[in-house]
Amino acid sequence: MSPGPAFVAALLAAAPAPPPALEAVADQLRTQVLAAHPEPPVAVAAQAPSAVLGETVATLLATRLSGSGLPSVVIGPGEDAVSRARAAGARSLVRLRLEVGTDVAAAGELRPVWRNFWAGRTPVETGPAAILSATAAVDRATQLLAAGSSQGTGLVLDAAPLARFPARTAALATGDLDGDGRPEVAVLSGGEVWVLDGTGTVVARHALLDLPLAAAPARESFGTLCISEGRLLVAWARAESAVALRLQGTQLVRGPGLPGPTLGCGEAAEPATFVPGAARLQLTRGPEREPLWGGDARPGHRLLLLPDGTARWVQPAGEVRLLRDVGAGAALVPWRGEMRVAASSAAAAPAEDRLRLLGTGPEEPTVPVPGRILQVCAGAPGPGPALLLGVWTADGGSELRVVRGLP
Amino acid sequence: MRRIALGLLLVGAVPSAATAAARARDGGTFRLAVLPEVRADRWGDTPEGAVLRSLVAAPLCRLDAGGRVQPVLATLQRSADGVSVVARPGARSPSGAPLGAAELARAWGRALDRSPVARAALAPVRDLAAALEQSRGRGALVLPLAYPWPDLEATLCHPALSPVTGDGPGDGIGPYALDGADRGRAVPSFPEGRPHPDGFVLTTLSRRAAQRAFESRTTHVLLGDGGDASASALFATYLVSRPAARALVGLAESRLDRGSLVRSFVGAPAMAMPGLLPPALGGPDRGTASGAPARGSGTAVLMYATDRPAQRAVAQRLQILLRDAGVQLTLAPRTPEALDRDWRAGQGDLALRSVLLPPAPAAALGVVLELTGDAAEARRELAPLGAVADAGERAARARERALQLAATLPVLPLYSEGLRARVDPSLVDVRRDGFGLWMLDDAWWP
Repeated sequence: MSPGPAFVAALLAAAPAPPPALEAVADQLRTQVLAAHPEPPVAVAAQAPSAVLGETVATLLATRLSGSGLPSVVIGPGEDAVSRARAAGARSLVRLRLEVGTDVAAAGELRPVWRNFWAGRTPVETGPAAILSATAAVDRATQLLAAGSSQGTGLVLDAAPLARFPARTAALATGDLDGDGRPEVAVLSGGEVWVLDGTGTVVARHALLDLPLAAAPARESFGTLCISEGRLLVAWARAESAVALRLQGTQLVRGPGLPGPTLGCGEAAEPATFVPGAARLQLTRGPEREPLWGGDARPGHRLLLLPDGTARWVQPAGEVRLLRDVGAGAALVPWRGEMRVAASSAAAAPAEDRLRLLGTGPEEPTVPVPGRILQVCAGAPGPGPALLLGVWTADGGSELRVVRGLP
Repeated sequence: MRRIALGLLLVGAVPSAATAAARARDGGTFRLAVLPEVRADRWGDTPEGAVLRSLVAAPLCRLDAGGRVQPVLATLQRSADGVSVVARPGARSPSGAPLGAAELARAWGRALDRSPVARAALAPVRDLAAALEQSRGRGALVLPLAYPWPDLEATLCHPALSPVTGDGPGDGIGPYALDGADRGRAVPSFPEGRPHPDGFVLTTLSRRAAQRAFESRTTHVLLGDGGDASASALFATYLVSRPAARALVGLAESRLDRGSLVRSFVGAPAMAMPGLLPPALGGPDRGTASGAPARGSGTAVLMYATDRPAQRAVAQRLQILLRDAGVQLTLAPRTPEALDRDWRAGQGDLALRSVLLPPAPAAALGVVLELTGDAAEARRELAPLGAVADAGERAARARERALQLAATLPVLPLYSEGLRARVDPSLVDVRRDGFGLWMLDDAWWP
């Protein structure tokens, strides 16, 4: 059941050549290392999102260097790489750090490890070093290698966004709105509701800017969306009241109003209200009345996102699990037959966020996502289990990104 | 055993509540330090003044760095022959009066009297006076266009058109309401939501004192000092001239080294602007070689805006250059409002004009043409540009036309400046808009 390293080894064995992205990175690094004329032999250590990716890149680079007449060995990454390089008989060390997002990026340094007899206690790290860096567009095989450490339930980020929006996304939902049996994607962003098909093409748009303004609107882009019985239920924290929309062709038509925002959707939905002037929700029933960043509800499960960066996951039979470091982008997601929590990090304004998939077991597949994850939603279009993310990008706009489970 | 227990404790403590801040926190006081010249810029004509003013007088819309228009106080709707400006519900002045079409028309009427940028932005409107007059009693301000002008929405977001309902700059509609001269308090009913801090405090300091305050972190934002050379520099300064004084401009130009003018008298972040459009808008960054320094004679009056240290220094430099050429230049300082009024009334022979250009080349060329004061010529030039529907092609045509017009317009480009500001790096969610200005509305600290 758990392919893990065996799966990755099989992948490598099945592929007669390493992934082209890694070859490109190794070629760029080889040129830079050769240009610096290091003293041979050279030890290569690479730190990567997965051990197998690190080993692959280090092996590739060492092979390339040896092929160019520079004897090289691969050593494992770590704090003590210098002493291990010396122990392996190397006179120079290449230390690399790899990241896999929309690009494969490798950066690091080349420095001598030979200790001068006269150096005494002077650390060798202060010696002259050459900076190395290389990037290449990511390919699928590299993504799979990068996810290799997650023991068989890895996550991969689709290279291209499903759609882009001019402003931050405030809420996401997926579900069938036109009755064709295929899910649509609904997005609340910039005071408008957007409905997209599975390819990310806009089917309909509907402005909410004419709605009466809330007495104290929230500054952050905030609201809830729910697709239920062919209706799209919209609650926007800048409007006084919620609305229900129906998709008729390429038009979203307003129907009778609604009581307000909810946690989750459908039968399990928990009614809530917006906290005036803040991007917070408050449940209107039950004992828990503290302001929340948001949350989710599914039959038997409830997820409450607390403003201290923790989350309370209420499971069937009332068992409560406390999750740490959970950001505002988090949801309950049915994943290969069990309920899980997909969660962003609670860090303030990260340039790169990460999505974790928390379950009952010890494993926590994680995938880095460029930008800040604002929302997470189950049921992204496409094959296999997949999650839809609303991500705030550095240019002030936002993107819909899809994270898939490894096949 | 003890070591294991300690390890467990550390693991539990890693994602501490103190750093958890995926959503903004409300509260605290936003502290700003400004230099005296920024404080003196009452109407926010300079980039620094515009950033400060936007706290209490928001623009109609936001033009983001990607060129997208987001409604703030009004939504803009295109129709077959123009654009309708509809105030958003909830856009109210501090006194509680809603922003209607009539209030907007009155505010623009005052801006037109004062600002060449406002006049240029509304120049494509057919019979502007009638359009503003007809707004009375209507829900929307309808702007019919005299010729196609696709950049209108972007230019309506210019801070010069931020609606101010009364006579003072504090009578705008902003995320903060003035609470005395140096304080503002968050407005809970602002259409874009209250800002995260509860209020702001403004301190006017000398450059040295402001730098010290920023370095000791007793202020979050310093306006008037520092800046980022890589950000777009759209605050452009030109030397405009009367027909009789064109020869003097030629004398000055033959002796002018824009690069050293910027280095010695303007200061970073700024760059020489040899073309009518600044390098940030694709204008040339290198001028053509001018001939040998020529000589002339006579006297002339150069008007410049007082309270703008760079303008004063550049005016004095021009005085020296022209004295060396045999011309006696008299300097006439004016307040920015008086400078615009007096120049249009025919006073002076030369004037220094600084304008924050819109980030679209065709619209920026419109501002340059407005500085010449020749409305008919502006219309002749802009109508063909507006007819080009594709934004990239329109920008390319505008750049090309700007190069051709440089030799004939009575406008000598000098330099362009970026926003002089420093922002505490611990502040979150501070971004630049399309004009290169910091948007401080969303700022908060974790």
